[in-house]
Amino acid sequence: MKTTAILTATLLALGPVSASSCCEHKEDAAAATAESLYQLDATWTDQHDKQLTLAELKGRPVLITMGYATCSFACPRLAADLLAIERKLTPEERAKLAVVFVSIDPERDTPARLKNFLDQYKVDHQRWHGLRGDEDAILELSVALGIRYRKVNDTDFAHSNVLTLLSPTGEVLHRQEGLGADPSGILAAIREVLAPVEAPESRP
Amino acid sequence: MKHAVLFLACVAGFVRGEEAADTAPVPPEMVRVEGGKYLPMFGDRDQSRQVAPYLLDRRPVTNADYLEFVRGHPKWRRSRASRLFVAENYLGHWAGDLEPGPGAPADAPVVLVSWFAARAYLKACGKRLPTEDEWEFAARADATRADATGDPAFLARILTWYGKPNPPVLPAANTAEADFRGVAGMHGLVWEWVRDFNNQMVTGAARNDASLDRSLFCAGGAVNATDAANYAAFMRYAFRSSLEGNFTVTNLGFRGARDLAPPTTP
Repeated sequence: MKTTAILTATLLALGPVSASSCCEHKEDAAAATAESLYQLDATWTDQHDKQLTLAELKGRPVLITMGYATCSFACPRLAADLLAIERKLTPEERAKLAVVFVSIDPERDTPARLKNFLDQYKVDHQRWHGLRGDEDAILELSVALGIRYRKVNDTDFAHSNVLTLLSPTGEVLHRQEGLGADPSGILAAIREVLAPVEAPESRP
Repeated sequence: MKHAVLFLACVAGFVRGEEAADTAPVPPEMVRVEGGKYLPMFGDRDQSRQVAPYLLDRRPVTNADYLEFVRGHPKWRRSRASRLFVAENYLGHWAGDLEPGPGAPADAPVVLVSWFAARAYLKACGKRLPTEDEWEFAARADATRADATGDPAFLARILTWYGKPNPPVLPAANTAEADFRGVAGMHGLVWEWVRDFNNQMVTGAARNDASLDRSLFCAGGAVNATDAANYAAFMRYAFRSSLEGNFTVTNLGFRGARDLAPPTTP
C-alpha cells in the first residue's frame, strides 16, 4: 500500500515526460515553463567560490543529484554512477551536458571540500558543479526533486539516491533511483534531448 | 473583519523580524512551547532529541487568512500558481481565485494547499512551518498534560478521528479542542504540513530486500519505529512519507511557527 502511495506520489510529481530541443535553440531556454526548477531563485556557491542560481545552467541538459562529500557509502557510488553515464556518451554529447552535485551538508561541505570531492573523480570542472547553499535552499531543492534526507548523527545523513535529468529549460525529464541502476533509461533521455530537432517537412 | 485583523497581526510579526527575542511578548495568535526532551517515532532511536523553545500558532491558518495572502500575492492565486509549486487541485474547493465560497468557510482551516504554498504564506508573515519534531512535540499534549501519549485513551481518541471520513465542509478552526497551552486542532481537525516532511526514508512493505533499501536510501537502515503502541504517530509519519511538495490534499492544512532568538547576555 505504502509502496503504491510512494510510487503514485513519484509519478504524479514527475508529470508528463517530454523532450525539448537542446543547445541549438537557446532562445527556447529563456522561457521557463510552469514545471521548471529554474523558478527556484536560491543562490548557491560552487566549488570555485562563485555564486550562481540554478537558472544560470539553462540552455543545456543537466544531471543533478544531492549528497555530501564525506559520505562514505552512497555518494562515491552516486558519483561513480554519474561517471558511468558520462562514459557512455560521445565526447560531443558529453560536452553539452552539465552535472550538478548539491551538498546536503552545508556546514562541512565548503567550496574547497566540494572541489576536492570532484577532483577525486577527475571531472571537468567547467561542466561539473559542486554546490553549497543554505539549509532553506537545500530543503526547497530536495522537495522539488522529490529527494528525502535527514541528519542521522553529527557526521552522517540518510538520503535518497536519485539522479535527475533536467531539460535545457529546467523540467524534470527522467529520474534514476537507487545506486548502480541500469543507466539505459537516463542515457536514452539524454540522447533524446540532445538530438537535433528535425526540420519540418516542406509542404508543397 | 476579525480575520483581516488577525492577518495584520501576522504581518506585524513580519515587521518585527523572524525571530522573537527570548523575552519578547508572545504574539496573541501564538503560544510559546518550552521544548524539552523528546523521543521521536523514527530516527535516532536510542537517543531522545532536545527540542528548543519555539512559538507555535494557536490554530491552523484559515481560508480567511489565506484569502488575504493571495490578495497581496497574486502569483499564489489558484489560476496563477505554478505547477512546480502546486498540484492541479490547489484550492480546488474555493469558488474562485478570490472567492472561498460555501465549500471553504472563512473560519475553517485552509486545505488543498501545497508545502510550497504554505511556506510562501508563512514567509510573508515572518514565520515558518514547524519542524516535524516541533509539531510532534506539541501534539503529545492534551488539555491537562504536556505528554499524554502514555495514555491509551488519548491515542484511541486520535485514532478514532483518523478513522472518520472528512466532513464535506470543515468546521471552524477555533472550535477545535485546545491543549493546556491553548494550541487548538492538532488532532481532530486537519492533518498539517511540517517543514521537513521529506525526512523519512520509509520504503514499501513489499521491499524486504535490505540491500535494495540501502541502495535507494543511504543509511536508510537506521530508520525504525520506537513506539509501536503509538500507532497514531506512525500513521502521521506514513502519511508524510507519501507526500511531495506540490501535493494538495483535501484534509491537509498548516500552521505557523517561529524561532526564539537565543538569549542575549548583558
